[in-house]
Amino acid sequence: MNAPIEEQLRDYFTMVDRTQAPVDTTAQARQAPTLSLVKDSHDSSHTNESTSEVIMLTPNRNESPTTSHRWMMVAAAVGAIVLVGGLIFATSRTDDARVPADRPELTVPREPVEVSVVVPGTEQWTDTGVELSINDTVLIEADGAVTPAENRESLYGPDGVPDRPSAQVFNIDGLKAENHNGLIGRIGEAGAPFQVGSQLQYIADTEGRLFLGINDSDVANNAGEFTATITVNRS
Amino acid sequence: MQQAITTISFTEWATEAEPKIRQSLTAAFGVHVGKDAAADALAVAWERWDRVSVMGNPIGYVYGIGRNKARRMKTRHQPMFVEVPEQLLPNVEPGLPAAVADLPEQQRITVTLLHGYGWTMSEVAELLGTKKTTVQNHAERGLTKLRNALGVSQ
Repeated sequence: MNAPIEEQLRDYFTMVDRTQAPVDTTAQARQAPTLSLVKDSHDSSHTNESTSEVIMLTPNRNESPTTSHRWMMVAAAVGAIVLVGGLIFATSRTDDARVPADRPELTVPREPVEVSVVVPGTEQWTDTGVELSINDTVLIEADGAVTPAENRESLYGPDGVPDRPSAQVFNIDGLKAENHNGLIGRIGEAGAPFQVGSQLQYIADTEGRLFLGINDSDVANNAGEFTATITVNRS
Repeated sequence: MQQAITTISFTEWATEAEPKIRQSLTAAFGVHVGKDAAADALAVAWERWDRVSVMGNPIGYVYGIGRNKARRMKTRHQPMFVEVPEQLLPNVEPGLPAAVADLPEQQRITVTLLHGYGWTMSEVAELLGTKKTTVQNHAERGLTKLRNALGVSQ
């Protein structure tokens, strides 16, 4: 006769907990700015032995990831400008007979943008500060959680409350068919809203300021927030 | 009235929070994805510690981040939970890991955290942002399904 199911669960998951090495957040974190995280390898499909690898992350608490990414992009842009300048200089020194008459005019691309924006669950719209131009390639990636007013029992991510028609009636106009309380966007103060969710990549067909918001017509009694990372590669 | 906000260091908080975040994501997504998602979520918590440290339910928030991370991870065709080791047989049914994996997510999380990892009803309710009665309902339904699936009478 087997043990009661509660006892089986306790014995089994105690074993799981012992064999699953904890995420190490202590060693280097005390001596910031380095944090080591131990992640399981995914090659132990049917065994009880877990293999681990140590991944070293080096975020700088004094400099936000967004800032460091921005500096990398600035450096890349400067590199591109130097390269283009070098090409112009090199071609200007070549014999005119070797330069095609229909050589296209060289243009320096506008600087790409990457920003991280907090979207409070209690704000209908949040101004991201990002100006878009037509043909910009926009990538929005979001995480975090917001509790919808009609159901304070659960937290939902940027994809919103799945398959809940009773909640969708509280969606904002124009996005009634999307998941309730999901992350949405619009271009400009009066732009048409569109679904964003946890990830959206698209090419801008309208210029203006990007706003992000919550697909809920009454956000006052929500709680939580999403965090969206917006990357714009200029056309 | 303005409340005084007491902040603690990330390391202090993570020492207590890490097992809970790892266990809860393991309960939801299995041992491999759950562990990776916990590592990613804790890294995000560290980066955003200034904001996370003053939240009312930081574990619930970080769990939410881990849940989103886990859902984006590519899962290979592998079981959520490892096989029952020999030393636990015959007290533990060999089919237990698969039966737990087959439960609906909310039932799996509550059953695993309550009975597998020994969390209290209040702790599970706080993590999920739900009521204790809801947790209890999920747990009872989950246990009934497990008993039926494994042919266990108690």
